[in-house]
Amino acid sequence: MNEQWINEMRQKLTDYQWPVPEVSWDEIDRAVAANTARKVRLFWLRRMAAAAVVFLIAGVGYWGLLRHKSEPIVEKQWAQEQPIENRSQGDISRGDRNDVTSQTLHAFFDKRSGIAERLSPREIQEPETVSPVSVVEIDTLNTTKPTEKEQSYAVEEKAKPVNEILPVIYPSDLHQRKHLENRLMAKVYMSSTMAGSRQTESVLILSPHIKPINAIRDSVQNRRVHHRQPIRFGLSLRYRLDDRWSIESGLTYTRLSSDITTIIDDVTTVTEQRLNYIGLPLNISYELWRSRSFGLYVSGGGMIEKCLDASPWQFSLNGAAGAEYRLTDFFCLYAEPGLGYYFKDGSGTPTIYKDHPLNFNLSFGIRFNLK
Amino acid sequence: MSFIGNEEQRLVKRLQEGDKTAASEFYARYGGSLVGVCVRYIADEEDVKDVIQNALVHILSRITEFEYRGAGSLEAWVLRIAVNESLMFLRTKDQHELLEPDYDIIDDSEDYLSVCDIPPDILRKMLNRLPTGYRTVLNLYVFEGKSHQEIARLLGIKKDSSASQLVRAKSMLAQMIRKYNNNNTQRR
Repeated sequence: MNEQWINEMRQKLTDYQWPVPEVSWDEIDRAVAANTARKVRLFWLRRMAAAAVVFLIAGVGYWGLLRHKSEPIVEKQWAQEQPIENRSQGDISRGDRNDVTSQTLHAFFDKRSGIAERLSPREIQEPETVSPVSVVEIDTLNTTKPTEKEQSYAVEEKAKPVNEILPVIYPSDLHQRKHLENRLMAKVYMSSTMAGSRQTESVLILSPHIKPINAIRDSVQNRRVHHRQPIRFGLSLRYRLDDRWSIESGLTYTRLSSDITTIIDDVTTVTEQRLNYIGLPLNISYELWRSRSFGLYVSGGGMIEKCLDASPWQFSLNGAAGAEYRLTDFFCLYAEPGLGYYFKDGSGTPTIYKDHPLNFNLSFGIRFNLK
Repeated sequence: MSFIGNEEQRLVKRLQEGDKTAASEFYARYGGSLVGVCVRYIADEEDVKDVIQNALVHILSRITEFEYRGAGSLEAWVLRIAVNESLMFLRTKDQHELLEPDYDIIDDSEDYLSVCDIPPDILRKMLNRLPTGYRTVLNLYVFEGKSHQEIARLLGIKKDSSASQLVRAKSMLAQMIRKYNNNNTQRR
């Protein structure tokens, strides 16, 4: 069929000036006034609801992250492979023990040069609080490349009393996290993994490349690793491909923190291992439902993360369902419960990702829409 | 062009500030386009008036959310609202008719058709004689430039159904036009 007439018809009907009917402006005014009042109410209701949801989630995440107490510890005791040489147990001095701890830590992190320097000195200084004997290695570590950050930590360390026995969350930690959240929440999302806060027995000391150390050969040692909730901040941009599909990427910063408790001859030392990751996620999402300001969607994708401290690259896959509330066309608040699977990173560092490769997580934040 | 743009922008600002005279000025200026859309979708004159009134309420209630993006953006927004209001009206009033009717007349004649001699209001009447579903699909496809996929989503029908309704709508229109032209030539 020839389509020419269709175009002609369209032209004709579009160009024609139709007579404009009379309308009742009174009715229109009344309806507009009623709409506006309702809209203002709805606007605040929605905003309050959105804020409540975000605060609720933030609250849960925050408490889960900070207030989670150690669960009953499954301890595994292991004897050292090699027999005692010249020394009896009683001969082991406290200094030796410290040496052990610092050496193990050192060995643990020395796969990459300079890694230990980047870790918080608290980890290294902690053993010192048990005993005043200082260890040479620690000094080297601290002095090779003292960064500003480390110095400030060191000052903090001196200023506050140290709990020698129990794993504690330091006041400075609390302060730091709060600060981080406040600073970043304006433009970013935060995610917390629900499977966190479990301790696992770790065998990191048994790594073959560690030099045998006399002092620990004969000691019976308990070691446990308590992973805290990972915390993730990110900035993401979304690009709409069509009505329903969109692609999303950005940058994430993830911080894993674990308390490693070592018990040697009734002396407990606690060190905190902190790992920082910078990640590049790539997700595709599909919109299931949308109203003017709310939307539901599912998304899936992968992420590549680089650990800044120790481990090499970390790959993960994730899938999530999300709900969003649009503040404007340009940005929206969202919350996304999801499942993530973390592949082995090939290193010996104990991380929550290794202990729980598959975990449930919740992200929320603000997203910017392109197009 | 920029003059028109500036005037449009000023009108938007006045509407957003709640200026009472701005509303009637707006209607005097954009009422014609508003009506132009509604008469394509809605057959009954009284219904057209209702839909226009609803569209005006919608426009004036939402004008604060409107973001001026250059000359013509206000009109484009207004026309979009007119289409939406028309569809909403059809959905509530002519719901059953939006479903595909049983007509099955496929016109496959290849002869040349012309609408040159047909006045716009006659064309509109022809359009209005189409079953609501056909008319709506044809309007969305031909006048609003929507794809069958978009139409399917808007009307809650299948993509194939949108395509077949379009074919039938065109075919019925073609028959009407042919008949009209034949009558006209006979009369001359």
